[in-house]
Amino acid sequence: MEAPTQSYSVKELPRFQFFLIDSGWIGPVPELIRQNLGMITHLHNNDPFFILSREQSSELLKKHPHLIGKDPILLARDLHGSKTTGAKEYHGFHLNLGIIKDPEKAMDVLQHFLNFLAVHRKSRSIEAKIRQQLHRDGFEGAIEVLRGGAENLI
Amino acid sequence: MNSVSEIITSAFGIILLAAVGYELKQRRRRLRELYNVLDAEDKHVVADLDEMVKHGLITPYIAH
Repeated sequence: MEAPTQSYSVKELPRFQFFLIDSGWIGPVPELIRQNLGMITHLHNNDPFFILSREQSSELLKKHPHLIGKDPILLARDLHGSKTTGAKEYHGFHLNLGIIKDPEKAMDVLQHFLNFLAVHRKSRSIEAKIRQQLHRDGFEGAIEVLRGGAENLI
Repeated sequence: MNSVSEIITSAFGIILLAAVGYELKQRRRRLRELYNVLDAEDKHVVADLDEMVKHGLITPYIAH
């Protein structure tokens, strides 16, 4: 994990608002997230963490059907996003843990995501960092897949 | 004979490059489904979440 390249002097104030959206509440992945809520909040102890009830999550999913099948969703709103870009829009990221079926893999992804946000929380543009990571992960993943394919051929 | 082997090598090269490109595209699509920055649709979700916070329907979680 690389160190943040640029930082600015907003240290004590919360950087993110976290929202956990989960309409199912049953299954190994949601269970695992609940068991590790302490860890999640500990890593970002200055940032408010909101947990929607099952009913609130279901209502939200009904209103925004593009989210169906993706929950549990961890949505991180970047409170300083607009300060750095000057745009009066919402900034942030989402992690759709519902599309992962293996709880261990989901935990690994969640830890990686939270670690990434913690490392880059002082970055001016964390959205750019996310895009870079997405680009890099895609490239590394493709190489891994191709390497696997080549090994199978050998 | 040489030209035949060159054609075969080039064809395999093109196929390999196409496979890399396809795999990269698929991989990035899957990753974007898993995590990404908020898009236009998500911004409406955040607006609703904001309203819920504003009206006290959700409050910050406190670890016990």
